[in-house]
Amino acid sequence: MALYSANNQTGGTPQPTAATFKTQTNISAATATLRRAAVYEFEFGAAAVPNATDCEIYWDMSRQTSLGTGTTSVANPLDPADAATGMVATSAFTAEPTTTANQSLWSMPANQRGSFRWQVNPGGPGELIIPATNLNGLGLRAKSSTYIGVLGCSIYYRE
Amino acid sequence: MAVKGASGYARLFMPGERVKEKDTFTCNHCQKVRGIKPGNNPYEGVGDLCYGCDEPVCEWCARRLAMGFKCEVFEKALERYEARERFRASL
Repeated sequence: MALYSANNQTGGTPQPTAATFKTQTNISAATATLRRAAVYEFEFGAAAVPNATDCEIYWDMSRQTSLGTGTTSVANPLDPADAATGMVATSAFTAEPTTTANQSLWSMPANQRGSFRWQVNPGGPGELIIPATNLNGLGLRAKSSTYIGVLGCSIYYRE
Repeated sequence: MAVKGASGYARLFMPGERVKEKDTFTCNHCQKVRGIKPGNNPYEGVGDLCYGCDEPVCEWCARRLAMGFKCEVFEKALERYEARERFRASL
């Protein structure tokens, strides 16, 4: 069991938040190294100065079936002895991936000053599974009516 | 100590406030994550226990079960989806 982490600070320039959903980080399967992965932890928060007007940021973890246009980010094994990941981590999206309708696994409006963490035991029940199908994955995305700064998020997964 | 039936744990950090914590479960049929509270029925309002797989399910899947749909665990649906996509890719 190898554990990996990816975030939106290691690939491209994080894109500003907008009134429509912007995917912050996506973990998806790739044909060359097709396998399942299981997300066991994610965390997020605003990564810039808060807006003067107190406001919300709406976060969402959804299934996605295409990659859109983004920058491949580095997904590191938590144990350096483990092999490189077979999944593809992407962030800094300029064109959104295709998000499957009604497949939001988790969503939450949070204050712009808040940060959030969700976790389960790696290898235990409750993990969010990514199918072993090309370009299928999970994307952590966010939107805000007022906040226009960048966001920070990390996704941890198991292969 | 975790609430009975919980498999996950969520924490919200706000400056100047106590950390807000909640145990969560992941629906065994569709993988939606739901927060639960302590009590005799921790799934009240957010889901139910499926007597097919003996695992918690979200409110939507609980409603499907109440309508007469059979228990289908996520792994089974995943296998079917992957097989279908493999077939489509082979065409």
